[in-house]
Parts: sequence; C-alpha cells; structure tokens
Amino acid sequence: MFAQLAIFAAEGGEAVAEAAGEHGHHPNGFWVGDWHEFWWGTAAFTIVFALFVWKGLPAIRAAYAKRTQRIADELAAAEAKKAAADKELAELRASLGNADDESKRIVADAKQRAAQLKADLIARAEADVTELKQRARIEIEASKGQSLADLKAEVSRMTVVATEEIVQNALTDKVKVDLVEQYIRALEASR
Amino acid sequence: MSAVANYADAVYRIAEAENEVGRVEDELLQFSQVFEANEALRSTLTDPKHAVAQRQQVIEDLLQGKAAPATVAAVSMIVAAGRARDLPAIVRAMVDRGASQRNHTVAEVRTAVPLSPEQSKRLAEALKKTTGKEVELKVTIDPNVLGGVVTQIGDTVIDGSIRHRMNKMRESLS
Repeated sequence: MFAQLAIFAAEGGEAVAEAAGEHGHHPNGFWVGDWHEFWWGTAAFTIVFALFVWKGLPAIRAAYAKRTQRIADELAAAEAKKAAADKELAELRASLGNADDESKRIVADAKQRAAQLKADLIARAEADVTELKQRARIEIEASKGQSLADLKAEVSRMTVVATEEIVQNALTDKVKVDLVEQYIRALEASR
Repeated sequence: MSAVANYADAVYRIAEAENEVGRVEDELLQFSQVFEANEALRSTLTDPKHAVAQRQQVIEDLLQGKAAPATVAAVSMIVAAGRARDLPAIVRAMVDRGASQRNHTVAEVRTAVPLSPEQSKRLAEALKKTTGKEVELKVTIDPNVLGGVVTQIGDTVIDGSIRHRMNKMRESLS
C-alpha cells in the first residue's frame, strides 16, 4: 500500500512538474525542486497517511486481532483437544492397566483352577486305582478262597471215597459180625 | 383217622385175615426200605403216566413167589389207590399198629449181616431196658449200612453204622 501511495505521489509530482513546466515553473534545488509541488505532495501524502491511519490501520489491527484471536482460539481448542487427548490417553492407560490386572487375575485364576482340576483328577485317578486294587485283591482273595474250598471239597471227596474203599475192603463178614457185637455191647452197657 | 392210618389198618386186617401178620410186616418193611432206596422203583410206582395195571404188574414181577400173597395184595392195593408215595408211612403205621396190639413197640433194625438168634435176643433186651417196653425187632439186611447196626424206634434213631461214621467224617472234612 505504501509502495502504491509512493508511486501515486511520484506520478502526481511528475504530473505537477509537467504542469509547472507548461506554466513556466521549474525545480529550484537538488532535494526540493519545487516547493509548490513539495507542499502539494506532502499534503496528499498526509491526507493519504491520515486516511490510512484513520481507516486502514483499525481495519488492519482488527484483522490482526481477529487473526490473533482465531489463532488463540485455535491454540486454545488445540490445547483443549490435547488435554482431552491426554485425559483419554490417561484413561486408556488406566484402563489398560486395569485390563492388565484383570488379565493377570484371570490367568492366575485359570492357573489355580487348572491346578485344582489337575489335583482333583490325580486324586480321583489315585482313588480309582486304589479301589481297583482293592477290588482285585478281594476278587483274588475270593477266588483263592473258592479255589481252596473247591480243593478242600475235592480232597475230602477223594478221602471219603478212598476211605470207603479201604473200609469196604476191610469189612469182612467177621468184621461185620464183630461190629454188630460191639453195637449190642455198647447198648447193653448204656443201661 | 388219617388216610395213612386207614390204609395201615386195611393192610393189617388183610395180614390178620391171612394169619400172617408177622411175615407180612417183615416183608412190607423190607419192600418199603427197597422202595425208599431205589429211585427207579419209586418213580415207576408213583408216576401217574404209567397205567395202574402196569405198576401192579411190576409189583407182581418183583414179589410174586418171594413174598406172601397178602404182602403182594397189600402193596398192589396201595399202588392202585395212587398212594405209592405214602407206602413207607403206611407200612410203618401198620407195623406200629400190630406191635401196639401186642403191647409191644417195634424196633426197625438194619444191619449189613444177619443177626444170630442170640444177638437178636440180646439186642431186644437192651432196647427193652432203654425204652421200658417190650420190643419187637424188624431186622432187614441193608448193604448200604456197610457195617454195624442202625435201630429206629419211633422217632429215635440209634445209629452205630459205618455209613454213619463215614458221613460224619465227610461232614467234618467239608
């Protein structure tokens, strides 16, 4: 804007100089050629500058302020988002921490249950084995007892058969008569 | 009076009519013991599948010429009446009835060998002392006794047989 005003002032000065030249006026020095032109230029500049200060500067300030406010708002929003994100992050970390604890607890619980289940299974298996052993022992004892009873019965039967055979061979008529005699004597002696 | 007692009375009357009470009693006792010991004879005489005539024929085949006609008639009558199963009880009741009439008690004696008259007398005397009554011996030869004597008076049994000792030995071993 300043550059535009300077160009405008320079173009205005040249135009005034050309007009002065046309009307017999000429520059009178190295720095100020023509005081008239100088004053008109200064006035124009002042007016332009005043206009700039009066109208442009507040607009520029307002724009800057608005921009600054927008940036501040954006910064504040970003800060708020950052805070929310931090909070969320903290919550996530906390929940992760809780999840970690929960998972540890679940794993520990699962391990404990597995250990208990294993102990129960081992105990049950041992009980089953003990019961099977006991049952087998009883069956063996029963079988042994039955075998012994069968053997005893068979030995008894064979003994009786052998004894009967021996006795029958020994029972001659004389022995039979003697046995009758013994019976009668025993009966006679009983009274 | 029970059916067994009725049949016993009838048999006794038959024997008494023939005047062969003692013989009939002895023969019936012997037949009764064979009947009890022989499963085939028992099933033949008690099986209703066999006709009565067939069963009577078996009795005649077994006893004809070996026993008194009164004995054969008595057994035949019991079998024809379908009372063969009760034959031992009827015979025992008949013998008891006869002994009772004679004021005696009957001792059924089973031995492996016949008793001499002297042994029979001594045995009857010993049993008289035991029971306090006059005793009639009904002796039968039973090889199953093996040796010794088995005497039964009523419900009392005095068993001095080798068979009894063998059974006791079998029981003690089992």
